Amino acid sequence: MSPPASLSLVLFLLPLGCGRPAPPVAVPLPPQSEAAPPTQPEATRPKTGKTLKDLTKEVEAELAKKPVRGSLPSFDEKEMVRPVSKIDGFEVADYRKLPNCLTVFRDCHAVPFADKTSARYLADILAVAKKPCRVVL
Amino acid sequence: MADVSGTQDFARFELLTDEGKSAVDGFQDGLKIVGDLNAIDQYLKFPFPINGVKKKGLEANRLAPGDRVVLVGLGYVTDAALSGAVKPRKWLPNGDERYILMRAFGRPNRERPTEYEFAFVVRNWYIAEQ
Repeated sequence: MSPPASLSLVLFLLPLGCGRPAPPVAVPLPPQSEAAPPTQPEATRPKTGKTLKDLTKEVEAELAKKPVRGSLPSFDEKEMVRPVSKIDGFEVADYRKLPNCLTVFRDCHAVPFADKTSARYLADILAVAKKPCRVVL
Repeated sequence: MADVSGTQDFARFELLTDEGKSAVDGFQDGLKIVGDLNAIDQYLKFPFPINGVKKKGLEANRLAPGDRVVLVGLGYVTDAALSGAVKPRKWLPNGDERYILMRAFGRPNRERPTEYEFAFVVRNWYIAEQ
């Protein structure tokens, strides 16, 4: 039985050097999952193709933009009796211009928690809550 | 301010809105109006106590019931378990020299759906006006 015509053509061309790897040609590929190994080194990949590492950096940069002022002392008795105006980053110039703490609480309550982990939800409401405010009594 | 103890370091207060209305009664920006998970309304009380106010500078001998006092502090959210607000059977708000616990809120604890997960407190407070 004779081989198919295409196989005959390959067998004919191989001795002529046509078996060398073909030059790279842009061929549309199906989307790959993030778990798949990159086909090129990271440094040479096109800028438009975002890796998981790139996306992680973007998310971290966005989180860093949250309006968190100053560093907060710990949740212990000694630190919590210190007036807020004496904590770096939370100085109070004119207390009358501060929001009522009821308003701050309402803003915290307005933060949605659907589709968030407990940790993420807490981070989001803390970003809203952590500001000097007034308690009117 | 409602009253100051003569012998101990605490006073009783009412939480007010900027318009001077009770925040416990459920006006806009009040504690009731912003949502409820487990009938917390019944635990919001007037007046509520704050311990350690004399140590913080409250002029107990000069003030009279009805005088306005303004505190300034840092809004903060804590684990409801740390502040005793998981099941707010005790009065809310309440406070001491460390923080004023205003209200438990947020989604219920997933494992214990009748309990609160977070509480809003005002920490690092000081008396700004009296």
